[in-house]
Amino acid sequence: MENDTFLGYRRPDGRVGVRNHVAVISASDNANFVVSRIANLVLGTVAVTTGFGRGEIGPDLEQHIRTLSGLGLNPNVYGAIVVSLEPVIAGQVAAPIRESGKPVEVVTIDECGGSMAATMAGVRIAQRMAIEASRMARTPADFSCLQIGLECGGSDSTSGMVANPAVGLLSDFAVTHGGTVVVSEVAEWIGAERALAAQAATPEVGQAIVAAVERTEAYAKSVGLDIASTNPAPDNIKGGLTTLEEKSLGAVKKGGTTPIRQLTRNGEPPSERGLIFMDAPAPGVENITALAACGCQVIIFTTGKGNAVGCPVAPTIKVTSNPYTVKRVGENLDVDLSQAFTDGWSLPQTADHLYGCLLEHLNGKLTTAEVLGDTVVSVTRMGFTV
Amino acid sequence: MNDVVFLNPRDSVATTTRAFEAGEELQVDGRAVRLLQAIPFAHKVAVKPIPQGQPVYKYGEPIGLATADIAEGELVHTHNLKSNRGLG
Repeated sequence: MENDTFLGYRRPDGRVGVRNHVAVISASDNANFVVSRIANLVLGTVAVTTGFGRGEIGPDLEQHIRTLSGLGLNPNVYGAIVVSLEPVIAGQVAAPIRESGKPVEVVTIDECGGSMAATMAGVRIAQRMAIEASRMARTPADFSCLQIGLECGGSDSTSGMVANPAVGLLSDFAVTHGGTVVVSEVAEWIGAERALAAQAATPEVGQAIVAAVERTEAYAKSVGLDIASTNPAPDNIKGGLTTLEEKSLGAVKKGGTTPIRQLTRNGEPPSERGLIFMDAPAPGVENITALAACGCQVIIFTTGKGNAVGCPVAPTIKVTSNPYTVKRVGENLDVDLSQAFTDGWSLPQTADHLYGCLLEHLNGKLTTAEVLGDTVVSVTRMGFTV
Repeated sequence: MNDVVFLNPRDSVATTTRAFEAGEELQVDGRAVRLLQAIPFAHKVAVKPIPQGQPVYKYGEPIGLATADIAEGELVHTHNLKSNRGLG
């Protein structure tokens, strides 16, 4: 790990993307089919569809808008088309994207006079925007422009032995070169919170992390749930993980050893640089959505047993160190670190290989999930719709 | 690669880096541990006796409580280790 330069797309707000997408975004679930049609018809677009969006209130409405506009604000997005049934919710999602200086347009089924009319209107805008986007060239940028999101899904025992510690070495490199690394999945801090509090840059950040863990554990107890009945999941257990504490202690290795600067809300852009913890849930799709919404241009997704999902906006790099998983579900993986087991690679050697693969993906190499379109968005919910 | 990943001197388990048969001898932190049973790839083996009700340590931290007496060289998994957190 030496060179920290990659080639990216400069945005009007000064941030740098590693992709140059036109994002077609549903502001509510009742426009998903229009969004899917537009994105299917126009090269250079990605579909950002969503659940819910009607009748959401309070913190749920705020999170819905923050997340969907955050995906449009992501530096990988050149411009956005926001689609909904009626103009109010689409306008709320579009406003922050417009403020950043990016091209953004709103299409509503109501104002266009039907879902096919909205599709036609959206396709025409998307065609123009995709051609404009294609005129942009990549220019050099360094890791101070980079925000990396970390996720582990379908973990097994090998995740905590090789893949996550290798990502941890990469995180340390990124942070010491001015970059930002975001770790989330609060349920997978349970059992590791004492170590995390000690790693926090200030006592306040440490206390906030412990409080987030206590809230999650207290919620599970309040609904009579035994977290152990869902986490570790059956695939985790088959892969050698026995308890949540064990899974957590392996999971948090991804963040590396630099001080934790801040605890942020789900999908909220960090105001500090360096190692950031975010209060977002562990399930893969919700978490990668939150990571991309808070501005991560790339997501490193370690997996033990395999997991196919990616985020439409941020390339999601699948990494495993399990040699059996490489053989079984290689079509959904991007980086093979199993040589740590099969060829005696040391951890620094393993991390170097991962770093080389990361640079390639930053510079434009497509991930398996991008090529297959195995991408999906899910905005976390907290309460009821009324 | 070593037979096992043994992370912290306090740990009572180590994790295998390949599948092992019963009776094989593992090198753990410069010491031999004879396996009482087969241990699959990436699973935990006790490297010291762990009494029922006592914490099991990995990464230098407790990862749950032993639900039975565990002998050195035994597999440690859901049949003899239970989480101590998030219980409703």
